[in-house]
Amino acid sequence: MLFHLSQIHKTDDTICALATPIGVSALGIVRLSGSKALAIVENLTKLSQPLKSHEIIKTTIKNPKTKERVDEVCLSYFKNPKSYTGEDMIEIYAHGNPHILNDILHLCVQNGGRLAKPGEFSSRAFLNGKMDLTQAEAVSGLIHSKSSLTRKLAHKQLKGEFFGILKELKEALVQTLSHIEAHLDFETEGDVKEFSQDGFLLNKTENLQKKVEGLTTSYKQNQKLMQGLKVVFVGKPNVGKSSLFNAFLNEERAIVTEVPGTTRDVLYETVFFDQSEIEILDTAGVHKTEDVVEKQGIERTKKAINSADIIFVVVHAHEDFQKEDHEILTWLHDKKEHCVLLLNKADLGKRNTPQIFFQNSFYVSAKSGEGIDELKRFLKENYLEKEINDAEFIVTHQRHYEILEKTNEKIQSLKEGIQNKISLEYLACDVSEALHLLGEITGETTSEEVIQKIFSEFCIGK
Amino acid sequence: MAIYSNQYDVIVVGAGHAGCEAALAGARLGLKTLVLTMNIEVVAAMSCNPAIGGLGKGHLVKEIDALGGEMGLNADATGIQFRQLNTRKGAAVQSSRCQSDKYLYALRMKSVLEKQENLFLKQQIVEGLLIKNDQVKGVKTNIGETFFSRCIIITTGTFMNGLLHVGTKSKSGGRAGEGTSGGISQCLTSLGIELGRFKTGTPPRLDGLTIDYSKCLEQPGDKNPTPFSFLTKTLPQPQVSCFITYTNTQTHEIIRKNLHKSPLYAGIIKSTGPRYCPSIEDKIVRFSNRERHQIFLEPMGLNTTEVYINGASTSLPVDVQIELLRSISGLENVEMTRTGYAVEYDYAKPTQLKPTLETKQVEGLYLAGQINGTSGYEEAAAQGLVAGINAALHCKGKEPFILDRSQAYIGVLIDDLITKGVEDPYRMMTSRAEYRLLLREGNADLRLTEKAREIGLIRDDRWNVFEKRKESLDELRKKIKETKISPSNENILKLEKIKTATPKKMISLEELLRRPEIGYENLSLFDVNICDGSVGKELEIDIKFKGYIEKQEESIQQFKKLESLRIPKDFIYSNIPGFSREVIEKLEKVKPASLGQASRISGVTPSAMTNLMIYLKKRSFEQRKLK
Repeated sequence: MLFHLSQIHKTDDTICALATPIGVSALGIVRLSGSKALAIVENLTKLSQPLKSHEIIKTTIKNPKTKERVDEVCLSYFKNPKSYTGEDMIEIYAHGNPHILNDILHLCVQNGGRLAKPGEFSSRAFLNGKMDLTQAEAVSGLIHSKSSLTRKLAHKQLKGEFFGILKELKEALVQTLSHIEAHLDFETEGDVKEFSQDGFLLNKTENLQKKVEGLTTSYKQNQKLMQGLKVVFVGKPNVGKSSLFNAFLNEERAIVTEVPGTTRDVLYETVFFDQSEIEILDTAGVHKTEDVVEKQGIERTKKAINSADIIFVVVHAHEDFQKEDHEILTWLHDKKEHCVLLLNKADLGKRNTPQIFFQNSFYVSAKSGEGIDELKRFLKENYLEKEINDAEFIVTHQRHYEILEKTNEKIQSLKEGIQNKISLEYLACDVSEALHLLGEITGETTSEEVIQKIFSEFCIGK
Repeated sequence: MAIYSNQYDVIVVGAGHAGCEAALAGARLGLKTLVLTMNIEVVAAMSCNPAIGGLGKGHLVKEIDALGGEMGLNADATGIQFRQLNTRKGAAVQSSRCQSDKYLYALRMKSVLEKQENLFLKQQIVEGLLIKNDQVKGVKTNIGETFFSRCIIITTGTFMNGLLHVGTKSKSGGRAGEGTSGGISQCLTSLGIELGRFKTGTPPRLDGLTIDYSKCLEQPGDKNPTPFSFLTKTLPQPQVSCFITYTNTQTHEIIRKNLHKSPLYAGIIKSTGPRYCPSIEDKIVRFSNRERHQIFLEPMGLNTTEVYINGASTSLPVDVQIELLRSISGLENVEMTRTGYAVEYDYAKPTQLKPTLETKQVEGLYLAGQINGTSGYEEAAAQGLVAGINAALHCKGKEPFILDRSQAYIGVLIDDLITKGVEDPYRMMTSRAEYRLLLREGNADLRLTEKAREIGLIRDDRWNVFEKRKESLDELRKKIKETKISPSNENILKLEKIKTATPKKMISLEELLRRPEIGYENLSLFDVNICDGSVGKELEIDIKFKGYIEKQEESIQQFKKLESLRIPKDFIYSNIPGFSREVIEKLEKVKPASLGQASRISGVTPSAMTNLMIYLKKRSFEQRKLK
């Protein structure tokens, strides 16, 4: 059996970790989980009264050997099972100096704790039955979420909504299975009517398929949004892409000069836009060149276009389309609906009229700032503010999507089996396998390899 | 006073379907085996329906046969109507069933026991078990006799504190007209074995001469009856028909009107009855919208006119029984020869057993059959066989004989009992076997006979038959893989004859057989003659459903992986952090032998399973490191 034993977390010791990022800040949090959490902290604080669960107290952390004061801190204690991990947990709120926090962690380890591995707190929560796998994954999703939408979805998942949807699917499958089994085991006894040919089973299967496909489609359609939006600027050299890029970022990120072809590489920057993350790429100017370096830059631009969600095509507002502008348009044919025309240098005059090729176009000026706010609003309204109603659910994890795809294959095989009138016991196999697959999402039938992989994607301290 | 030699290896208490198989297995494995029964006149009695097999149950009989048991042979020798069930469905869910001459069945089985070397049959009632230091020593009987042994197999069926009910009257007994035994119940309880109480029932018996069969639908047996045993060549008994009739709204009205007189609905019987074999009262209440229920009229033997009325199990008062019977079409003038009744009895909760059916509490004490909360002769016999084999192996100091869920229905049966326990009398069904595509009646011998041969239960005659069958199957497999046919004119004509498309290029016969419209018989056109239909059928299934079968084989790999993660006997579950009290209690009660078994205990949560898995792996890793 292939299996990395070294990766298995011990589950019976006490772990500790920094729960806030390393760096100078107002506060830093150290958390501990395990049966010795209380003893360790009591040793460091010498409290006169025992800690009460779910209360915050102020105290001093001292090195028990040297009696040296480490920091004035606040503590809260969460007695098992009413804690995130389901074990005894303590959180220490200290001053956000990396040295202080390090000392505290060090003392915790010296007194019987162990530094936690990434995701170990959450994996303990899962192992202790505090949450199912979809919820654990939602925690990770929440930490890494890139937009208000993904946050909202992670919250929905954390609340157990996805679990609920899967439960419904499973119940429908179980019902189908029991229907089939009843016919297999009891038809000869005359207590079950002859298996109906009225399409009952087919109907049920098609309904199921619709539901599963709805989930997989939701993933495919919204995948871009989950990963953050990617915006690319393209245009001929010296058309002002980099200036616009900078105007967007409000800083001098790309080098802007009057010499055409300054940006030889794809520059990118990640910005927060109305609480959502978008990645903005500035590309090399596109023109016919013999310069090897620049040629490579152009290839990279083409690649960037292919991976983009939105393409800002920059042209001059004060002149008609040039040959080079037209050439760029030929690259964009397949991505037409994702293109937005930016007529730059509108401060110099507005001769170029918007073309039919583009559904959306804006007069902008990197210099005067004209149209930039409008453009930002456009982005926000059309791409970032996807609203989901409460009933809707979007699959956000690739793992879930992949399992749902496999489930769909089983349901498809079931459907074909029904249509081809294959004997029921074979159909039952498809249903059982679909059930087993759905169990993998929630962790009911998941192998430990999968569980390890999931929790390895967490950060330390969670 | 020792009248007889009182030293045995194995003592079997009870001579029903479980007891007979247990005793035969023990004796055939060379151990001195004593069978003690209350009434030597009723060995292998069919207390309820005069039939062997049925869906899922037929599989058990075939497996018993493949392991060298007696039930299949006995059913073949005394069967008076054979039918394959579910023939319109796939092979995996087809089962064999036969009507038996219940008198011949019992007589033949008794004579097999009598003739068996090492086997001693005596009529005495066991009143006490001799146990010392949690080890079996022997039994004490009603006539003051003491017998010593190393193993005891208790197969007392419904006789432990049996209580018979007709209407609101009740009387102690394990079967109509027979006594009961309370001594064993008491003994087991004193050994710390937890008992529960179940109920089951049986329908009235009718005088066949008073049935108007012209109003019923005749149900003949199969034209070409197939035997249970892989050894049987011919079926000796003449074949007779059963008949089908239906209850009607009037019948249902009579039952509803008198429901308060039923011991179950009057609250006299509180124990749970078999969910999958309900009484007619239950059916009327539970399926109140049904206008009729099917009733089978089954002959009880060739030399009797008595008829068993399958589907009308009842414990209503006698007058109501007659009234409801006479409302049924064809039974207007029927005479009842025996009344239907319900019986309540003690059973021992089977989670207290090891996979060998030995109790966890007492070494050498085995329980098999209805005492473990099952229903049905086949379920009982299968357990008897497993207990008999393991008692013998125990005496010989050999490794136990355990079949798992991927190997046999018997494995499913025992694992279900010892892992999940029973909520109501357990009946085998094909849906209980998750790997049922591989566990077919037709390949029971291929799955099991070699294993039984290894422990010494397969005599040469059976072994020769098995080897021949296996060889011819292997040969055929090879042959149809290697034989290729081209789209020659001659072949095109042949293929047209069997209404299948002509292939564009050469194809093997295996590929041809994969087509749904092609059966193994068609291969004779290409000089592959399969005279043994049972071999042809196996070949065809393997080829036609290869995809599904391979998938099941894959999931068996997964299953074996979990089964191979053993949990030490003395494992302390409360050591694992994060286990709820409920989970700990469940695990400690069953004491699963493997992670796989633990996962099948109801109420053990997925997160607890993951936790346990990680804990076990870590433990075995640390132990390996120590070495």
